Amino acid sequence: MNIQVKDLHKSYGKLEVLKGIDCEIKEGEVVCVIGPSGSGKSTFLRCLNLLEQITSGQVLIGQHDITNVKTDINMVRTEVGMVFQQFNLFPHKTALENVMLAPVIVKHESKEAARAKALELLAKVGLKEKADSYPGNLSGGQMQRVAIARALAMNPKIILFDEPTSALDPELVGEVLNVMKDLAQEGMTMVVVTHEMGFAREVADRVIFMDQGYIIEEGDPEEIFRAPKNERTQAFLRKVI
Amino acid sequence: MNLVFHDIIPYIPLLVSGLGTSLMITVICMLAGTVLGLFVALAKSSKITPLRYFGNTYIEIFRNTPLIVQLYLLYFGMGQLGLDISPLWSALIGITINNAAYTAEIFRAGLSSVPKGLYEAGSALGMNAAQTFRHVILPPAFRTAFPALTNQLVLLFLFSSVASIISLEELTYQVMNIETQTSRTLEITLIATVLYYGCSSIFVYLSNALARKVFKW
Amino acid sequence: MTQDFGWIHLVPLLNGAWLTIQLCFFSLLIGGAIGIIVGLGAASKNKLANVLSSIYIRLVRGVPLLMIIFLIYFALPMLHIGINFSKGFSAVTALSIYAGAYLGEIVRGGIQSVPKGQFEAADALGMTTIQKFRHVIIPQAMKFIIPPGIGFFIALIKDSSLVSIIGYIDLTKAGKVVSSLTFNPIASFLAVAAVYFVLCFGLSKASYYYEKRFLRST
Repeated sequence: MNIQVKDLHKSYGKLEVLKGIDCEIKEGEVVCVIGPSGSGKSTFLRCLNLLEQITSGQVLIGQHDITNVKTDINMVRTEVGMVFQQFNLFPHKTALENVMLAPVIVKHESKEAARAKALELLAKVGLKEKADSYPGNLSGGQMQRVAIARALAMNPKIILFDEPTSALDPELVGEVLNVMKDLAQEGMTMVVVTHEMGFAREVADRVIFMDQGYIIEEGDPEEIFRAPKNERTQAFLRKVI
Repeated sequence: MNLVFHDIIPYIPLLVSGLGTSLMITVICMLAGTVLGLFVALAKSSKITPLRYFGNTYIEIFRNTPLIVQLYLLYFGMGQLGLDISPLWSALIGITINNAAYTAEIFRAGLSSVPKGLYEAGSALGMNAAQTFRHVILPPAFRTAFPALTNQLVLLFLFSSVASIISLEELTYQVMNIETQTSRTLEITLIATVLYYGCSSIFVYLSNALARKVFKW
Repeated sequence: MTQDFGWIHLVPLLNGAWLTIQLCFFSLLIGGAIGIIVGLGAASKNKLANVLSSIYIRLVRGVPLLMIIFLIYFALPMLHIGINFSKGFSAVTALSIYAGAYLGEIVRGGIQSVPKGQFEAADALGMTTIQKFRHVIIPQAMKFIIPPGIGFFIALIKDSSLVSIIGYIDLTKAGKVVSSLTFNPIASFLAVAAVYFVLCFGLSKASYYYEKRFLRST
């Protein structure tokens, strides 16, 4: 499933945050979106599953035009997973229940099937032994891995990552990035807003640099990081690397 | 000062039945008021202006007038309109309506304490608004609201004594009744005080125990 | 002889309202003094003060106000201690005892909301206990005490309606009298409710603006 974005604009009142974004993300591609804070990169990501109302423009997820009011957005969202900066795990559910909930109530899978799949996914992110722990008893890195398993449980075609490691203590970043790396190698379509330049450089197929509501530059990570063409990209990379 | 309690012994069944009625209206009005309060809270937080207006007006009217006046209006007012309403029904309806205004504010505080990210997590997983509310938002909101609801339960129990003024035969009514018959004013008032204090302590204890059992997270 | 409900009946109602206001004002003053003492006691490290204050707060908060009123007005004279409480005096006493416990709990909560570091900073600067509370703790605790304190005062206005049961002619009792004169409980009690509403709602709106103006900024 691919993503096509055409002339996407997003405003909060008079403040225009996205000023015309055009891009395409191909099936199986891993795209990292980088840029200074306030550049609109998180807003851009959140427009892709309509967590933000789109002011104008068009976003196609596969065949679904999510800017069309007739599109059942909840149906599209079952195919587009999302991982948040603040994890947003359900505090009243165990790790296992967090992963099982949506498949059972949204996709009407049987509890047994959902449980078996959830355990499998928790094992995949290395947290099988934490299945019965509540989020309050997990570290940030563990919570984020549960959140990834929760997104995977819906069998999404695409996963959106919104600064997935920004809220983590530095020593916990690695465990989350490793899980994401595995997903990338399995061919998952991923859009990752991140400050982890090492990850972007190593894992991404393409890097998009955003600033002040525009895509300034995009391309192969090696090129962007080694020889950025635009001076704003150069200035940004000088600061963060 | 000498306290004489044995005059009161024959009246123990009256005290027990009064206490039973007090506990019954407390439990019923708390449950019904909690459900009604949740709807009022949802109305007040609604995007639909008339609903929001209704929720707001409901809460302000019932929180800014005394329960006793509300009960008088219901009990004597219905009579004036030619509708006979028993003291029990007056108390059940009046206290429930009153209680809902308070629980609504408690729920509203609970709902607004739920981080926005949880709504987004529900939506991002393809849940509709009702599913998100039921499975994702309500449980943590309820947990936040729980201590205040416990507090409200005790207040409700204590203020159910006000129903004695519309001659509902609950604990306070029976206390006044026994006082008239025995003139053991101090003794019977002390007994009632102990009963009320004991029951409100038990309510707090039970509700804490329930919280430990239900909120394991 | 019955009368039709009319404007004339607002006179006893407003008289009753004035008594309700006076009643609540004096109860707030006395109850506030009790509240500060037991609140400080319940927040203090002194065992005796702590236990006594906590018992007072818990006991009063576990008993209906109606029972407190009965105890003061009906039961206390049975002790023959030589004081015969008038209705007004009983009403103020009962409401003060009641308010003292709820305000005490608010004061305790307010003091305990001040971060521990503030106590330690004052101690580290060599302040005496009185200096510490006067200059450091109380000013910060006020932010947590004033809003719920006003909230309680509004509740007290409503709760004071229970003194009507011992025959004190407050707003509610006045309404009861008017209701039996006119055989029109709906009009009488709606009028009573309206006066309470104006008092309580007005006070809560005023306190809302006060809080917005003076407390949010700090």
